[in-house]
Amino acid sequence: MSETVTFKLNGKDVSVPKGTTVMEAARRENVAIPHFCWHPGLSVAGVCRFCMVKVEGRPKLEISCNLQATNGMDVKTDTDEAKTAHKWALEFHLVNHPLDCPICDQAGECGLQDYYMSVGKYPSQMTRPKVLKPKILDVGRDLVLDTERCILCTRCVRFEEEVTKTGALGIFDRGDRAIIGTYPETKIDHNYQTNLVDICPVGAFTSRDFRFKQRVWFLKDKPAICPGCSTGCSVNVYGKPETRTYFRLKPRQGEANGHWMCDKGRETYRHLNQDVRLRGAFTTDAKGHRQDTNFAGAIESLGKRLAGVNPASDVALLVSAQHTNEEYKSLFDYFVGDLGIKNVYQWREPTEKIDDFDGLLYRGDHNANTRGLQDALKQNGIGSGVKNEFDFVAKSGAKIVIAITPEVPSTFPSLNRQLESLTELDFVSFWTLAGTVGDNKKAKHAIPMKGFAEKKGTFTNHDGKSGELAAPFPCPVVDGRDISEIVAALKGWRPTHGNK
Amino acid sequence: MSHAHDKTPNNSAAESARETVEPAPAFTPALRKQIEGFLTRYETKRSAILPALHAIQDELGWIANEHIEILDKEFGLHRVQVREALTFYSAYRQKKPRKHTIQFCNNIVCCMVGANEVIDQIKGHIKKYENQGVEPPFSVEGVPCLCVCDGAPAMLVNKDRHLKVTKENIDSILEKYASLPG
Repeated sequence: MSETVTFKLNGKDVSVPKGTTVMEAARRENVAIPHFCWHPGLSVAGVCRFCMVKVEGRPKLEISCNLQATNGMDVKTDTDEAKTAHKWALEFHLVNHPLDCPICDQAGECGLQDYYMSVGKYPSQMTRPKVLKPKILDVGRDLVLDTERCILCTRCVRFEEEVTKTGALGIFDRGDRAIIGTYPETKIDHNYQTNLVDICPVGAFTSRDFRFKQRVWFLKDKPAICPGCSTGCSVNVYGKPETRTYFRLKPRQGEANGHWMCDKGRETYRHLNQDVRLRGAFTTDAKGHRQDTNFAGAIESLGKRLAGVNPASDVALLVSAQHTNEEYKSLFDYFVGDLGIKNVYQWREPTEKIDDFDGLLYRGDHNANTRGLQDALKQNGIGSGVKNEFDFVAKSGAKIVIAITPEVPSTFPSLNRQLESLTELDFVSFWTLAGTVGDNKKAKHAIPMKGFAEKKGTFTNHDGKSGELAAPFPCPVVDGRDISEIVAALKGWRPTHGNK
Repeated sequence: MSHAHDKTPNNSAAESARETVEPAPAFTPALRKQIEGFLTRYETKRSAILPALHAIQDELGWIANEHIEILDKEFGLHRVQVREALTFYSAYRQKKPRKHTIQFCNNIVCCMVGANEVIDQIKGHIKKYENQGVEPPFSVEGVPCLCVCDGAPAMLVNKDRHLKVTKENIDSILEKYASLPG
């Protein structure tokens, strides 16, 4: 559609492709029109009657979400008439809303609250008792439904019909008794449920995982890429830097994912929290006793070991496809380029079905950067080196194994078993986030790493498109480093006098 | 206040208990054929939901959850969409009706000449049966205009129309129906 139309929006000439609605055009021009039922990723429903605009020459206000812009149209969103319509539309939405904001998870990111402050600010005239409806309904694994808070915008109904094509939700009964719900005694059962929580403009759907954990205004959100699979959805990570805790992931509009993300991906914040992380570096002294150390101490002991062997034959490198392109570059530049290491193995989960795809977003390849690692290996003249089990490492006779573990344990069900078998080897240096490495008494050397939310870099997704980790949180683990920083430290390490 | 909307939770709980013991009547071959016809009549299958529900109610008296399941599994009408339509319209019966269904007009003209008093009297009769522990032979609901204002107050018993129903003549009408089979 190359044809464009030009119309006036609040007195300013705006040109948009033919077929664009006034709502979409206004969004593009950063003109805010209040709306509940309209969502860029869903069809137009026109049920909330909130996005009223004035079109000059027409007798009544019209809803902008279902109004296609035409040449010469003169649209105003800020006339007194439109403002009044917005105000009363909001009051009607609030007629039976329980106003239980103090105990509602949505408070702080709620459409009703935000619009009350921007277009409402009226004294309530509602003195009649409110209609009471079912609450705390269990409608899915991660969903809690409160039908009293619902304003019947039908975003969730349309999501179920159009995006997941399950049609599990409907509006039952009518008038002020109408409620959103599933068919009796059935639940929503798919991998995209939490999107309903995101698109719900009020607190009707809340996430079981996030419920009552934190007030949203205490959270900071930073853009990142989901590390859960090779689709590489754009996400926002929500954390509280003061307490060094992460709470949730939410999708951010992106090329790879549109507006959505899957529930499996949403779990990938959990491994970043301190309680499951390796919290400090450790090494082993000459007598075989484990000693906690700092980052410099860990580099010192690893550097010494590396200096004592012939790296080209005695060192093996295990690496997974869950790190950034920049990290791979510095890693291979040093270990393959400078030290000439030949034994580079790609660590993969044996049970994963790499070519699986659910048709929407979730892929069988549960690594964010498979393409990036493949490219880096190819550039360094190394075959794919895919290995699922590590018997061969034992057989290879490598004296030092550097095992850079996969970051996200939920994508590697066999991770702990494999870590266990690796500790049987003579000397393995774990570069890891996993707290289980620290718990393992046989592990001899470990350096804590930064997670995806704490470093800068890029992932290359299944499609070859690159996604950027641009805004890191401070790492909750003091000695946490990314691969590039560890390699730089190793590179810079020199034996000090009197240390031998 | 509209009686059609007057569903107290207690009532519906008791009714649903009754529902579970009463097996839903099965679809007859003629009904199946009729529904299949509806499926091809419209541009979208979804449009067939309303006539299909009407057909079930006309044929079997009411629409049970089992019937929705059959529409879903055997006729490809999504059960959520069927339930949406079913719960939207109060004229669809979701529970087995009593022997006789009384629909009494409670719009303004009938009310002006005493419809509410007659409805109360009918309710009194129903209460009497209930107090004796007997299943009342009729149910009553208020409905909007029956389009016979000149004969107000008007009521429908099943499909029979009764005009000028008053507190005086209602008892004999009810008596007649109570002795009739369902």
